[in-house]
Amino acid sequence: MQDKLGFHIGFNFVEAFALIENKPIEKRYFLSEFTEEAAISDFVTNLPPHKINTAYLTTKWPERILQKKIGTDIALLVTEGFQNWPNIRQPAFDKRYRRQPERTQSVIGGDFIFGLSERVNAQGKILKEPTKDEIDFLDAKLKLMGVKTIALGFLHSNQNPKNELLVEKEFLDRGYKVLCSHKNSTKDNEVARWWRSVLDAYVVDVFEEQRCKIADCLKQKNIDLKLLSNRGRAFEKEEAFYFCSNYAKTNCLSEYYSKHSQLLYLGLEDFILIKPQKYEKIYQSSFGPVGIHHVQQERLSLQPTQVISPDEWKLFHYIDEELGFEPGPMVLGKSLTPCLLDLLFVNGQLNKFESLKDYIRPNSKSRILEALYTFARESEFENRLDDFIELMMDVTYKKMAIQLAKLVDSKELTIIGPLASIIGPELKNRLSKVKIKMEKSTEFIDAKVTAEGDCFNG
Amino acid sequence: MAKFHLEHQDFFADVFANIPGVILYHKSGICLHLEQERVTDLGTLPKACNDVPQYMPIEAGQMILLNDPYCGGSILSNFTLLYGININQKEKNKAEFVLGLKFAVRPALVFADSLDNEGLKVPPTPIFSEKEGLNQMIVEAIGAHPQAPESFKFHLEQAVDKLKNLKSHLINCAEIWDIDLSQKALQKYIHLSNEMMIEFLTRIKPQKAHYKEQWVTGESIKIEMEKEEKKLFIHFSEVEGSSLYNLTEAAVFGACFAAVMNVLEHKIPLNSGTLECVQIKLPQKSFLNANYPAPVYLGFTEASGLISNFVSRVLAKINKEFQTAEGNLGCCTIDFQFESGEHFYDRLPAGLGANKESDGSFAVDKWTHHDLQASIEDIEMRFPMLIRSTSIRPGSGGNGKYQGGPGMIRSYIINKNASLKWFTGLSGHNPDGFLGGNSGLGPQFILVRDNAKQRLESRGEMELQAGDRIDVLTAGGGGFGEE
Repeated sequence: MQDKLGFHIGFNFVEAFALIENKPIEKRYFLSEFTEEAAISDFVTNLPPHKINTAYLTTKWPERILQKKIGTDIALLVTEGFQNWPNIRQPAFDKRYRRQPERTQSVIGGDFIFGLSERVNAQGKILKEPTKDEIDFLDAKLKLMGVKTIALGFLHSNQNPKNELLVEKEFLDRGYKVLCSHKNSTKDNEVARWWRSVLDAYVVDVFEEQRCKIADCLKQKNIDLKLLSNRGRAFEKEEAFYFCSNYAKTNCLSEYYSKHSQLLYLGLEDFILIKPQKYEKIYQSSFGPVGIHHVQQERLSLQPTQVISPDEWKLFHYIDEELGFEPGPMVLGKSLTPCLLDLLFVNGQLNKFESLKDYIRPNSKSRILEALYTFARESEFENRLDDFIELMMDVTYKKMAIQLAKLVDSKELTIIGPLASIIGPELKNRLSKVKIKMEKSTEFIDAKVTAEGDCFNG
Repeated sequence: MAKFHLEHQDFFADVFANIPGVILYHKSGICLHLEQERVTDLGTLPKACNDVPQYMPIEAGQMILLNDPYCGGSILSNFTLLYGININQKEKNKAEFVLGLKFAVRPALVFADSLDNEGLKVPPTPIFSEKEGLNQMIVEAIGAHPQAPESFKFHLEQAVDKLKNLKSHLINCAEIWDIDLSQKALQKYIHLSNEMMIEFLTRIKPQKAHYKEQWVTGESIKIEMEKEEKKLFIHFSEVEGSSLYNLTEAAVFGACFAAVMNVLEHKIPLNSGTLECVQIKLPQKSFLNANYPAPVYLGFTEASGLISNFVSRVLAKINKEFQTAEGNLGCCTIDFQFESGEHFYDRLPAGLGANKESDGSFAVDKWTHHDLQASIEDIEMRFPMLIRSTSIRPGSGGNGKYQGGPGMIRSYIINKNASLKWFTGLSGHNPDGFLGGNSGLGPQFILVRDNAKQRLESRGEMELQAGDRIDVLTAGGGGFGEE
């Protein structure tokens, strides 16, 4: 079998996998202790002699860029009269009644959306072409604002892209980076297409910067870097694939387990139900629909860093908040609030996790127990901390099980991922109507499926 | 002392997550869980579950269809299905629970003098049984009625399937969770919810307040509000008649409870224990407590929001921190019936009033959770019209220390002849500013024909010619505080 090398860079971990002379080598790096380049360099340097000349990579960079709001300053050019439409259409922040309901924040402010007097009708007939004078004016304005990357979103450009192409050429000639909405899909409506070009434009520069760092680091070891797209295609420097590569990992899992009807991925960073070989064209993001081809997947409502805290009714719950990894769960980071991973840790379930051992903070157990004890003391449990932990674990499994009972629409479910062997058996006991298969040795499954590269790309 | 966790609350919230317009009701008269879509659902869904079985017992496996607003329905384009179910399978024929689901067909703007002219009214009617499936004879009869809504059968079949799946899911989840759904356990849960709601309501000061206001459409209402230890009483009086609006007691209750949820700004589990903490009293024979055959469309769609706004303002008299400038008034509804058969309905939200902490939000309907508007391209693909613009209405929010939220503008050019209906509940009045803040701008409808502009009244009907343009401008909210 050919030697293989794959990396998955998540929000907080770099997962590395190599297969050399049929022997797997795996390692996990915690990003608060290593940079991405240092982690990858360390792994490659310590590999035994091999014949690897290409490394494959999947990442969560796009999502990370969005969450941290570190993308490029961009402008969105839309059909005149619809500059406010993307913001008017933003969904409300949450569903409860509020004195002042807020819309979810998108990555582009209203001051960076401009109208161009062009129009195409629903049948694709051009009613108005953009004028050069207007483009000159916008060019001057964008230069003043320091914007170098533009997303284009004209109404019905999927029916007739002529106006978009004309404006694209004008701005490309003037040195801008331009991402057109009609190139994403001809079937999505303007809302999904516009957001896609906005997101493509927003992540492109930071993504490229990260990609170069990893590529340079591997180049020193005579290894080429190839990233994987949402459709399993390997690419090096194709900007149109950058944002959608966020769905590369789930696509790899879907292809690797293509014969399985449904997959429950229990990772350290997320819990996702994946439906292999089933695809969707629209991704429902927190700020509305985005046109992106991806494997059908549902993030569970309970996630590894779901916060345990008293809610508005002073009841102890998992609240609607994820801790993420900055500052991270108490077991790994500096947080003062316990989360699901912390609960698993004090319940003794993370102990067999070899790849995590090096990163567990000293005295974290006593800190977590202290925090949970405070909760227990304020509740009906008083001093019975063990009962409190036992009940919380029970609630965890019940909540996950009833959501899965709703989402799983096949008779079989395969559980994979680093936490599969920890959480899976309890879920198996509770989901008696679904035949559950536990896949063995999937602690490094993200990097392992990535290492397969583009072999699934038909 | 903080409790650890209310198992039933967690269970119901997880089972019914993201399903608006659903209710689970116990035969003993307990509402166990409710997820509303509109404010009126908070009153109408429990009423349907409570009233219907009293004169039409719902057997296990049977579904009852209704849309009659005087039996727990709302506007006639919204239907409710009630499903008799057993969860522990001990009972066979008698249903221990009622699972309710609201579903909507495409609404139409209607100006009618009686409910019978607003659309097809369906009183509680057995429509499905697990043994015999859908009663096709009744379905065909409803579908064949001249006032039957478009694609009624399609929507009904979808809702029946959804409800059947929901029942299976509920039973499956009850087994997985191993939850005690005995009457005793449920009553205990409701009792605990009630205790916690009482504690929660302590955020409203125990005071009395009264306030009288006259709406621009002529209605005048007085509210006397009293916060006691365990309940909030809202007493409506001096209610003058209305030529436009009619509501039911259940709808008014929903609007009042939504106002309480709005000022408290917290997630409140909706069940009998929490709902019973708000009590309303309405005068008999008033438009807030109408009887058949009074038409309800405008009452449920417009006046329910006005009641919620009004109750919020009275609550702000008790708790000053809830004060806001006027807003969420002057939404605009427009309805095109094209000669070629297409029917287009649009409802555009207004801006919100500013408060002492923030500017008002732009163009948002705070009383409905259905907040996503259709795509421009989808509208233009389906209907013979071109949308010329959709934008925030500049300068429509009142100035102040905090700015009122602007309304929005949408401009439609129609490509085929059509009949037009339009409505806004606000005319000749601009949403007031507060504590020195300026008023927002009121709503407008403008017809542009042959380059000539004509401002239209606040409501009306007319024939449009291909090429006509209609501009709809919704109101902005008032500003808060002096600049």
